[in-house]
Amino acid sequence: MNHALELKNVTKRYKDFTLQGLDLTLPKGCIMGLVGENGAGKTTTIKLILDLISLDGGEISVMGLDSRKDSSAIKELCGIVPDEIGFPQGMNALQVGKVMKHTYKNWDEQAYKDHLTRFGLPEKKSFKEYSKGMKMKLGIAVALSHNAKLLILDEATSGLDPVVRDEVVALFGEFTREEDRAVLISSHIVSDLEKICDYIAFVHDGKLLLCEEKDALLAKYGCWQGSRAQMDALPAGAVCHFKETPYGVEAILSRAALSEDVAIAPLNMEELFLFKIKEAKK
Amino acid sequence: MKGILLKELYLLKKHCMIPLFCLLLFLVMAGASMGEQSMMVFFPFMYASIIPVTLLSYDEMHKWDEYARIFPYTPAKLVLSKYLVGGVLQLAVTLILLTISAVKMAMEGEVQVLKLVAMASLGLFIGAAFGGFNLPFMFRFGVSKGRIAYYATLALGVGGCLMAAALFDVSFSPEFFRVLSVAMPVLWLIPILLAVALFVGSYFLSVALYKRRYR
Repeated sequence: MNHALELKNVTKRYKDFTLQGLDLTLPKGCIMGLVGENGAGKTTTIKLILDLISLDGGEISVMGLDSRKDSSAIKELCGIVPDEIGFPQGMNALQVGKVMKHTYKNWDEQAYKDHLTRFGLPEKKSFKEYSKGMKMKLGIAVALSHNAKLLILDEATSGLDPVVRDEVVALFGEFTREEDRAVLISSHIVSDLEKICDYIAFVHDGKLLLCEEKDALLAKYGCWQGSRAQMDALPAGAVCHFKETPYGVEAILSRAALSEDVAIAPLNMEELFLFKIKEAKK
Repeated sequence: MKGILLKELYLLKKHCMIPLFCLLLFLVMAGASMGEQSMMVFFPFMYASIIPVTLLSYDEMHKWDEYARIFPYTPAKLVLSKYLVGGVLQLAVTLILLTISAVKMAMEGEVQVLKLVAMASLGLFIGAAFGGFNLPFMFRFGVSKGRIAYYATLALGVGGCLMAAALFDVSFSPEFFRVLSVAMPVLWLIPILLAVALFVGSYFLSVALYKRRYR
């Protein structure tokens, strides 16, 4: 069992939205970024992984366990951070710790206290007095304090300021230093994912547009800037996507179609994401 | 389960001290009104049955109802915590009311055990019926919508009973109950058994409805 997470032909139907035949594999020791616009199906995918909604088709396994049959065991193995942390407003971090101690079999009180200190979270201040960033940090502290093997974050960094976001994103990188762990992080802030992810999955309108190793994508594509005339002179099939600006043309080029003398910059994931979505809309 | 119950205790301590104090006041008033054929005796049971709904409304307000689902709590345990709070409160109300009433009777000269049993039995039934009827709606529709559904069904139920009583000329006078309790004391076990059956049945219904809510 080398996969932390495996989705095979996963389908979920709603009246106005369908998640269609999603196939994803997240190896252990890796971080996967699930990228998509709002309403693309990221949260639905995460809810299906955690058995929070019913599955209409396909199979999901988390650390070798079936998501339908072993839902509670899976939640023991997962540290989950949704976009909104909903501890009762009157409770403080100490009380949250006591509740969690009786919730998780592998609760690590010392790790929890260390995270509270690291995040600068006051133990006795009530949750309602916490800022949004502090609430998110408390959710992350809980997710990291029960020896979870898979961290699942659903837009967890979206509402945070850049400083806190950077701190938190670095923490996820630390988490996967142990090779039996993995992280699935969904976001529409592509730059966050670009920094830490080993794998990138693009979801659009309930369909998986792409799921590849980030390094493979970087090797496959590159960014290029020049004039329209220069672009027209490039080999056929080299230009995957371009946009014209008042200063010229910005393009995503396929490295395979280019000769070595064409200088191209490393790929910008956000551009690739936009390109893939436009391609899907055609 | 311990974790959820601890969270319920924190919630009770933080947000329900005033309702709990009111409950205590109602209990004293109910104890004092024992023997006067007053409906006041049953009011604490009804009031106690609303406290789990209050807890549920705080869960919704704080978004704990959604958040709790990411933890390894099964739907059955999440539902059970509210029924346990409700059950413990009903038992506490019964015990306190029995104590206050017995003390009052003793001070007046005679402790009427049958009357105490009748009061406890009917009280538990009323509390279980209120709580048992209320909670499934809340677990299915949430507290705001659940309350509307609950009141609509309650109005239909009470209206139906009143119509049936009028049609069939049923009279539930105190004398009717007095004769019944003297004639067949064992009959007072029936409301207790019904209360337990209602509460347990309601729990299973709530679990099923709670699961459906999130499918």
